[in-house]
Amino acid sequence: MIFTLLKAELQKVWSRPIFELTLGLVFLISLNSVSTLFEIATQSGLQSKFNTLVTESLVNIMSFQMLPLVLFCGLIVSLSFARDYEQGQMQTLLSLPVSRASLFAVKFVAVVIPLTLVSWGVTVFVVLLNFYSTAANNLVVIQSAAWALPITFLAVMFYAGLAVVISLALKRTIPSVLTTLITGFFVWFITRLRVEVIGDIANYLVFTPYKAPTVALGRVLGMKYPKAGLENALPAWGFLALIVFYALVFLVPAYLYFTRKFEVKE
Amino acid sequence: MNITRVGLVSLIVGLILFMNASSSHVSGNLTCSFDILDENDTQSYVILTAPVGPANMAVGLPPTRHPGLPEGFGQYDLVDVPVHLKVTDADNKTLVEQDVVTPYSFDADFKERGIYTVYVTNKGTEKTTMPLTVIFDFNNPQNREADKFMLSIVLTAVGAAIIVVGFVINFVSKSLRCNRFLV
Repeated sequence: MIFTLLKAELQKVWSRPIFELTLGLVFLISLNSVSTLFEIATQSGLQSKFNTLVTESLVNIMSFQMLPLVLFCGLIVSLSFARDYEQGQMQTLLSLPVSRASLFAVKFVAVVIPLTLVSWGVTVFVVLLNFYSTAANNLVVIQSAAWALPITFLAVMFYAGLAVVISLALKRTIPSVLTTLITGFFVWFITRLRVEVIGDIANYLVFTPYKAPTVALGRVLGMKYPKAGLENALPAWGFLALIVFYALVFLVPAYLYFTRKFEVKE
Repeated sequence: MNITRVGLVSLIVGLILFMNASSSHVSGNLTCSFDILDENDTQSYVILTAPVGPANMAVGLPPTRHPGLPEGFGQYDLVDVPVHLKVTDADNKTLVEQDVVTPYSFDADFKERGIYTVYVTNKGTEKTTMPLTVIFDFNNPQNREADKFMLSIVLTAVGAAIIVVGFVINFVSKSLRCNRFLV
């Protein structure tokens, strides 16, 4: 029953043209965030330069992918939760012999897993396309890109959690889509502000849900940040723990609300 | 996912890649200088590159220094230094091997993705830097990445073909269904 529900949910939320638009926008942005491979190095410094280039490209791609992921996550979650409520399908779904927890999990997974896979698949494709050379280097690229999968997953979980809270609160498709898009864009925009604009507080933006995943990826892959930068304030696992926290911060209340308090009114 | 959708995805990816890969992204020049070479010392530069096509390379081209730098800056940037130059391509095939006098420029063609190596041996008697400069034309379409461009064409063509096949299959199956119903 759960798998049938999941299949139906996947077909519903990823119907044409949502999947194509998501893939196209994520691919366009990712492709434009990497530069053509052309580097001069010494023989001894080549491998380290190559590793640095791959890491920088991965972090760049993830950083630029944030905006389309936020926007599409908000859109798709709203279509999944709020539209079902608005069209009266939620009542039917809740009357099925599956627990509310399972229903919530199905709806959440149907958005988060495909979006993570689209984002990560595009990242691997773009980085491999840009850096493929010897077998050893290809392995380095794949190993580095593998780290992007769990980190992207956690980042998408945060956006989806935020969007679920908004959708369950507003219960209407258009208002929740708009609110999610505006909220996502606003929070993303704040993280783009520089020291020149908002002063020293800009340094603390590395701990925000939109910046922390890219810093976590950079730290895990050994990227060098300025010594005085707050990127070095936490170890790599510290940033990973932070993004796990962010992933759960909206998800847990949304889950509790959906399984205990959520009611469908006639 | 039906076949038409697979074709559409391939077409989208192909077209976006085509937009990106059909223009040059390596305009301008890049100069690197790592060590100071003593007599008979050899410096090897490795160029890790995508297949970006024709360029002009120069060895021993002294960098432009701003006036007013402290004395001693650029004291090793010598010209008219006899050197032995060897350039190998991504397949380790020798492209250039000759004795020249710096600054010396030559044409290079980065046809394949991989590592090109430039070996320069100082045959003079004085210490000197040996900068390597690679110069690309501004926005020369020949400097687009050949492999990405080719892949984009393949993906676009395959995508378009799959969409057409999908439409034909849909049309035929619908016609057959209609005929069966009429019979």
